[in-house]
Amino acid sequence: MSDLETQITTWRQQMLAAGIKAPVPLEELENHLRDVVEHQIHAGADASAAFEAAVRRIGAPAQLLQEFQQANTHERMNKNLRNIFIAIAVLAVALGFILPMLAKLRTSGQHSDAVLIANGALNFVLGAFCATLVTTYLFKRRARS
Amino acid sequence: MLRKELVAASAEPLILSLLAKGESYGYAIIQEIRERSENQMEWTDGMLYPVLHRLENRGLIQSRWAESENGRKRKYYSLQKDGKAVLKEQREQWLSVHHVLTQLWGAKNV
Repeated sequence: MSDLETQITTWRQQMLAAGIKAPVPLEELENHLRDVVEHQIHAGADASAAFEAAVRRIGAPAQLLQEFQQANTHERMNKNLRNIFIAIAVLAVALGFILPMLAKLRTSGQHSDAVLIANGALNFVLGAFCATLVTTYLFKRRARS
Repeated sequence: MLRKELVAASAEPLILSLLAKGESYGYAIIQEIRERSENQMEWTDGMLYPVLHRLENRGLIQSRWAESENGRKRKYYSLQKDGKAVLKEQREQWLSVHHVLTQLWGAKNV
């Protein structure tokens, strides 16, 4: 293994130890590091100086980790929104069937089972539609912020 | 050299604007910003990637891995429909700021 490859392997280990995950985003950072090294060598630097310059340009692992964690906070919040959507959809299903059933109990004998199921399905569709609209709006608003 | 805060605030519209011209990858994005700003915008290269990931998480850009000309795998980013809409909004906001400053400073000093 060349000196440069040994240095890159050590750099990878330091990144991993600091909490930067592989393959994402470490592979991408390593590609960038190699691009900078190639550019520096092409401009006349020796391999060791090129590597040092590339490491400086990539930045400190701890600071990078902090930035990636902040970036992923958004993803976590989107997952929470998805969970809220699922909860609303489940609620819509439950209400869609429970409410007509309660109505039937009150007016026992007046509605057939077919009407009950139709009412349930209609309420479910309406509930799911409303939930989708609300969630889509929330996603769009978050994406633009 | 531009202040760090200004560089950070302009990161998103800069990246979205560059990707509006076509797909690109991290190193090329950094190089183009450096050249276009005549080295006035100095980024720590690694800090570009959290911004790219955040934009991707928000659905404004998307990425794909492909083999580069030197045989290495490289992650390319491209602008999405929502990204175009956000870029349009941000462009209007930055132009508003530019307009106000231009008025305050007088056209001959700008």
